[in-house]
Amino acid sequence: MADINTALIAIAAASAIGLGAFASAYAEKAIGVATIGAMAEKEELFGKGLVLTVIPETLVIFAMVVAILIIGMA
Amino acid sequence: MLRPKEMTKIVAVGGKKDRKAVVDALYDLKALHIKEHTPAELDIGSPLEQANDISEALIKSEAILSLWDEDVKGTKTHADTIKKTLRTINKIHDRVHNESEELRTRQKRAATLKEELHTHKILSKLKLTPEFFALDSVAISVGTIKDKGKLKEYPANTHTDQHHTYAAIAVPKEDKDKALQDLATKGFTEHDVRVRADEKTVEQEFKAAVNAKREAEKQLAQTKKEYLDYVQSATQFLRQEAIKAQVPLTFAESENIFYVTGYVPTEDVLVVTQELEKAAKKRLHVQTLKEEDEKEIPIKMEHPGLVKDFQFFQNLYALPRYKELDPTFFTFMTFPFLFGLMLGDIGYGIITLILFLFMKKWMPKFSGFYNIIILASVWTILFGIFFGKFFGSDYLIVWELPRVFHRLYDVMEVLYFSLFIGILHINFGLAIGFFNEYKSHGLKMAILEKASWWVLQIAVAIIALPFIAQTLTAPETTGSLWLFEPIVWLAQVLEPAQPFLGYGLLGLAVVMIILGEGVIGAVEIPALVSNILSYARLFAIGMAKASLAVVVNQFANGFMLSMGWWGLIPTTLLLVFGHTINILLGLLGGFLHSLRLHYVEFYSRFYKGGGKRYQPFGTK
Repeated sequence: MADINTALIAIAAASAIGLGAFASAYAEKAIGVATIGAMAEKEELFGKGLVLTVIPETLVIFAMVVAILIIGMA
Repeated sequence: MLRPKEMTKIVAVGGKKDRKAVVDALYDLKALHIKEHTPAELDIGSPLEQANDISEALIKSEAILSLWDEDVKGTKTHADTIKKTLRTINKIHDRVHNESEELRTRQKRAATLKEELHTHKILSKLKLTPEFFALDSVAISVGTIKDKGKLKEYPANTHTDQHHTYAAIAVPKEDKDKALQDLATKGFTEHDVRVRADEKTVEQEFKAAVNAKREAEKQLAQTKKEYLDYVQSATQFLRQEAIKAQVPLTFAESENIFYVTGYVPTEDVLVVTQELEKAAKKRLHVQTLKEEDEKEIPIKMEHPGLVKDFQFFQNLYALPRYKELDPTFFTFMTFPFLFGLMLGDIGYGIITLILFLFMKKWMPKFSGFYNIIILASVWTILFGIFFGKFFGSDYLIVWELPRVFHRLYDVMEVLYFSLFIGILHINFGLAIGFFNEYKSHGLKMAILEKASWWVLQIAVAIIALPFIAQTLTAPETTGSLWLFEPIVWLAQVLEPAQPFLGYGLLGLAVVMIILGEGVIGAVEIPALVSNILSYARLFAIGMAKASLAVVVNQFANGFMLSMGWWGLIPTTLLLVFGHTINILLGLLGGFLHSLRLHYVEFYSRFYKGGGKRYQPFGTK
């Protein structure tokens, strides 16, 4: 269990998901702020706004897939 | 239940003489959603005849209520006519107004006298008598100062109480102004201490003023007690009458005739027609029209008992359009399912079930919302049995729970299961979308827009089949899935047609999508993959909750092992605290993510939304 190969694999998987999550959060932050601002003026935009806000979710989902594949290497 | 209620557009035509009777009947029926008339050939109507009186009385009675700091609660009956109400409200308003003015005057007088009394007290504390103010060469200046020490050059008496430091300073009369300026720089503020009369008189006057003030307050309270009920009932009555008086602005009127257009649920058309004709003594005609623009028809969702509570999600997002399927029932089926999948613990389910059953008794206001969580808790218990977890542990006290998958160890199986649920859910959405398109645009459009996605998925499955079969038949595969046999068999059967079958179907699917939804549809193809993968969050959140529960249990275990029986209390505290946090996070996360999966992945397959709410005349 405790050898350098496993450690590197663990670090790789963790950085994959961590950086991916950071990217996704950064993208969704700006869109989310704009959505809430638009909703404050017009309540009906909630649905569209929600869908647009979660579009960058694909970044972190692909990152998670990569992390799982990396762990599968161990 | 699957569609919004059917509505009929009606127009009622009558003579202006019967306007008031018809408006009253409409208000009591609470069934007509009025469509406002835009001035074209006919102008909009004018308010009812007594609108001015109603407004005047309403303003005054609202003023009285706000003066008394009260509001109307509950329903009250009011028997007077509008004219009589106006007269009475005017009378009450004048009386209340006069009495509060009187109270204000007396309050001011009492305050002034209090100031004078205070001045007297200060003068006596500073040991000043009237002779001091009658000197020839010296003037006494009395005031407040911040720092006593700055008065060193001047002869002064000082007195300090909790608020200020008072000082009486003797200054020569000739240099009075220069001295006062100098004192001002040192922080001295002069006060006017000329007194009207001696202390005893002032004290008597003050007591009399306070009594007078109390009298006025009692008088005001008395008036309030006498008339509060009447004013409350009058206000409620006048509010309703004001709404009724303004509604003719939505009618179309000519010189002698008025038209009112609106939507009524089809099953109520007969009753509405009869009531209106009765109110107008048969001098009225009701006709049904055909509505061309479906976007104008108001939406009333109708559902049986428990499903009705899930309308909450529609109100939050968007009401369905008139002709499309109402997703509330589908949300009722799948939302608790996904919630339970994420929480998946027998103990947690029981706790939330009991908790929200209690909340229904204590705070019945939101009982619709609690019903949603109660249903979700039942599914949580079911999935707890599925995953075999009780408060995070695999054992119910000592007996090992049976399970289908283990949350923490059968990682890949749970992941595939979540993705499988995702594929089912999304295809369910596509099926509903297919039905909607078939109803509104015909079979060909339905196939091109929605069925094309099914062809796409089948094509991808066929392309991937050999690879999957290879992995499944490899010697090192382990796992408890029983679908291996059919998949391998299917791969063998389709062997000769590969790769043409797979890629051919893929090309066909892409062409169909572009024909159905345009180039944007083709760009959406990766979005399908991302949407399916999005369901992996079911697996992720579930594993996070299970891990947290296991960690809490292991900590508690450690406590008990190291401290023996003394560890009972900290262990219990730790268990309660840890699992409570886990339940709260689970409730919040499960609710939010299940909802998001519905709104984004599920609804985007079929839901258009944008309906107008049905708000009949007579309801708020």
